[in-house]
Amino acid sequence: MEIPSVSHPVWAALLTGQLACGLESLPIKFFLSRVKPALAKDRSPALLRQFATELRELFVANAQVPSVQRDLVKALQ
Amino acid sequence: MKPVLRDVETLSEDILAGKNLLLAGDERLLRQLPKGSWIAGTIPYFIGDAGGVCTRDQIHVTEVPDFVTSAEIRVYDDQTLSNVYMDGPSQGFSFIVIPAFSRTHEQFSLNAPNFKGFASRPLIGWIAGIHLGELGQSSPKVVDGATGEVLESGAVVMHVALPPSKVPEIKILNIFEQGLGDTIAVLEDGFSVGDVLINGQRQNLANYLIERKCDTKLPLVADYYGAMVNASIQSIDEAAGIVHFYAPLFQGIEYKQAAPVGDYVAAFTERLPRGSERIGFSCNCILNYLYSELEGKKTGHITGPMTFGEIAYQLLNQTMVYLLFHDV
Repeated sequence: MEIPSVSHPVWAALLTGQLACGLESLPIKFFLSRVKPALAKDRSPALLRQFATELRELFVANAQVPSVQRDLVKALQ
Repeated sequence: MKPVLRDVETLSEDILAGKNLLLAGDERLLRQLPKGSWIAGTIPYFIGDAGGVCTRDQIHVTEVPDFVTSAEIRVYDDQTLSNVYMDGPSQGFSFIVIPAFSRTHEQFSLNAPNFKGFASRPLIGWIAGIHLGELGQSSPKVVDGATGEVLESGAVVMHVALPPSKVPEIKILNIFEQGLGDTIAVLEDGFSVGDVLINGQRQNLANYLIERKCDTKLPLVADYYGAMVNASIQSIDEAAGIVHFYAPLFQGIEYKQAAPVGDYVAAFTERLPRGSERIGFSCNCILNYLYSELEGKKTGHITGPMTFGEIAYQLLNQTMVYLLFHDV
């Protein structure tokens, strides 16, 4: 499955918690929890883009893991 | 199938045969092993083939599967530890052991989520410990089997590369859920906590737990997007008004004390993975062993060391962590 570009709205939706329900993959959950306090203080486009880049890289690095694949499918639905 | 608990003689044959091994056992036994492709941490508590056991006469053995393409051992100190995720193979996983109470333990616990590449490559492992009767008398150790070096601080890591047909995945099994009580937030990151915000109001956590007669066997639990992450209570210093934890609490995270668990073994076995995937490694927490009285009890088909902390990307408490291999 193709992983959307960093400008795709799915990343901001995941980072801001709008799509985070029902995630399965541990690295994705841990990453989102790590950045949550920072985003609570600063939701600037620059920071969102920085974390979107990191989040996308995480999906790319774990692209073969079944739970990560399922999380991406769910997020894009 | 070989037993997971072995004596020095039997295990030495496997080491000399060139197997890649992840070991856990008493320091005296680990020092007797020949050099080879193994790393280890000290602990005498295990879930073995026959269930929970405390022994200083056997070593727990996890054989790294034969299908791996390479296994490289590396020792990290406090300066190099931040590279641990990026040093891992792009196709594979890394296995880490850190001695409890060391600076490395503290550094990893507090800072790992901010290390470069955090969560991008699978990192699993545990915190080495000692017999609970020796607390304050001896220190947990980790061992680099390639050199025989025994360390009280630092971390030993085996970076394991896999063929393209195998995909690793780290999972956790935590029987604790957030209870329905108050929400607790800390004012700064750390293992020791004084004043906190309880439902937004500043209060002393030690006084709060004592006044409410809270069961300190129940950890504080944070909800990481559905993954329950525990911080276990080590002790309460009533005079100083400080609560000490086995894992750090982080600012910006909301904690609640866990709901009580009736029968640990039943709750645990209910949640065990039932898929056909192969479990490559697992470990569980010494506090689960103690509080749930696991000695002599089996936890399904799961075996492993009972540890002073579990690592699934980051430090966890009172949680089983395990590594799966998927065929793709």
